Amino acid sequence: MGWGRWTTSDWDAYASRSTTGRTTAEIFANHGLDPDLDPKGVRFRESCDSTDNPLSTAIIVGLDVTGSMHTVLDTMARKGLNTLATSIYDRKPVPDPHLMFMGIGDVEAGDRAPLQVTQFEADIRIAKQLAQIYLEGGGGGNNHESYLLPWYFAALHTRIDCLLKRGKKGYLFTIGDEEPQLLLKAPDILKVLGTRPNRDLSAEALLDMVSRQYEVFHVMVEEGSYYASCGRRVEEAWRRLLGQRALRLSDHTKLAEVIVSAIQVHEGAAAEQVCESWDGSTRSVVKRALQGLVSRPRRTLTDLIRFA
Amino acid sequence: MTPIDAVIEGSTPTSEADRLLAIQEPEQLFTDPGTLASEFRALARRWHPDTQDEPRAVAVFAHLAELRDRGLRTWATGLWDAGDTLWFREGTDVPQTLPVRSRRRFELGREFVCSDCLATWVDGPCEDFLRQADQMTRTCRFSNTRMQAAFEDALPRLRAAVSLPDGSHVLIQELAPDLIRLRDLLAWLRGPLDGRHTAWIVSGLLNLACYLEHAELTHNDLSLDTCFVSPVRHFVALPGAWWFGAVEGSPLLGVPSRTLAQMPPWLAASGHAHRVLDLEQIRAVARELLGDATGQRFPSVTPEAMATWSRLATSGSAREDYREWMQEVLPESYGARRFVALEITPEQVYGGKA
Repeated sequence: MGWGRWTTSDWDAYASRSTTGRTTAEIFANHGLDPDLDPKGVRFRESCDSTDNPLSTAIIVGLDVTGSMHTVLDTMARKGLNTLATSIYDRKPVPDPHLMFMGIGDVEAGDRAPLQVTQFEADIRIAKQLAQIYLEGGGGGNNHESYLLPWYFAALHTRIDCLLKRGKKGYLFTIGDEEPQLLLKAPDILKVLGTRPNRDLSAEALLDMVSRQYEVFHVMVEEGSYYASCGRRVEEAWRRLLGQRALRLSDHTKLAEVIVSAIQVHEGAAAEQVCESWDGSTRSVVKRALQGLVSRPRRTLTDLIRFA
Repeated sequence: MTPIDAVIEGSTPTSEADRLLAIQEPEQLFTDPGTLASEFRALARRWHPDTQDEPRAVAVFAHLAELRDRGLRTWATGLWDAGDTLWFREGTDVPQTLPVRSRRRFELGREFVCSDCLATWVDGPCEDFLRQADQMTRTCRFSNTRMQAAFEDALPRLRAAVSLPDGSHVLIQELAPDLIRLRDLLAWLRGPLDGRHTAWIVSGLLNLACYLEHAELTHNDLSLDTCFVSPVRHFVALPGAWWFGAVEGSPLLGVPSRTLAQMPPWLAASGHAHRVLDLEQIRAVARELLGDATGQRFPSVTPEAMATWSRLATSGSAREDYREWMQEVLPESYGARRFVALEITPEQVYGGKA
């Protein structure tokens, strides 16, 4: 997948037809897991170079679709997606973005759709697939959602040309308000994906695996109900795992801007300049999110890294 | 035939000028440091502008003089890499030579695979890594003679350490003549290694990892460049100096940037040695041998169990990884164990070089 380009005319036509003036329930009309987004049995989702996108960059955005997180998905479908796509085109932190969305539920809580996965797309088709996500509204009963399922799927079931052809990792963002899941159990993987690894996998092990292929970030939604009551615990747990790649999001309507900014900084832009490039309230949200985030050092494979 | 003979043979003045001007390094022109002066004199007579009519004679003569000067400066350091032969000398001593099969540049200098040894030139500013490698060699201990017999030949054994006039060093380590560097083996094959041979190589590496776990040591640079195999014996060795090695839990001196890229984020942040890195690197070696470092696109004949194992993270324990590999992955991939000969010799891989 990955033909075509994002255009504002496609977006305007899509938005006026599918999102403007509609309620959340009307946009996300599925009442169950859409077979197109069911990860079970998927061998690989592919991000392939094409004549339209010769230097494709895989970008995965995994959105928490449990309880209080509906607003984040709703905003992404109404406005955020266009901001995300056009900002990457305009600011060019990476070339030829191929976007994939995931819906994250809670497998331990018995959700019917703990993981939903679109294709990698470069054009308006991703908006249509985003709206196919089933807003189950499950979760609860524990202090985390199944944030490790996207890591597992990305590590073992995606094939991305940016890495295969150019040795360049893709980007993976998960978004939610709860703590990281610490262990992904083999029976849960079997339930969701239809394959069972030989053992349970810890968050650290999964991070090792997925980091071979993706630059991994998590966006902590500070407006979420869980974060409101346990924010410090959430932040400490994600920071222990991801360091400064755990980003705070104080206004969910600015999620797209935070994602683009994080990619810009990681690709070498100065955080201060990136923050200043946004207007008004966006600037302060991005500034808070990027606090402490540093650029990826530019190294060749024969450089010597001294620790002492 | 000397390099100069190769340039001159069958050439016209015009083509000879082309060939000479294309030579970038003195080692490509002069046979060895001992013949540099006489060979330069012979070439200078041919290309002196007073006697040579070729229009580029002045440029060629100047180029030859520059190669001569650079050659003299190179030999003043004590090291001369003449293609098939490595020359080096300690102080004003008589030069020593080693026949070279293959070579690579790495973070600390250059490494030469010779017929019965591995010679490594280490730049002066990297002396702390030299001490670290020496310390690691001394730290390899065995609980009993059985363990010693099983692992001794797979670990580094120092033959000689030579200090060159410029303050750099050459370290010479024993290398069994039947050993082939994995990188050289893959280059010769021009494609992935069959999974059945990847199997015994990974088994050997995991076996070594079990020893390292027992000895509380970490290597931190397991790769196609540092792992050697004997196809005849189905034997895997890590004969080179362990520049980046460290005792488990101790601070790391440094690592190559490619190693840093393989480090789990929490380990890179800690800067301390942990066995997880060796175990991750063994899986990376497995993926490269199977044909795709990313693990995303293996040949279709690769058994699914083996492909999945190479993509998964380590359990964090060498013994558990070894158990899983031997008792679950290999039987699922190929059934009962049996010896499959890999009929490749060092002579084939290294083209008959000494």
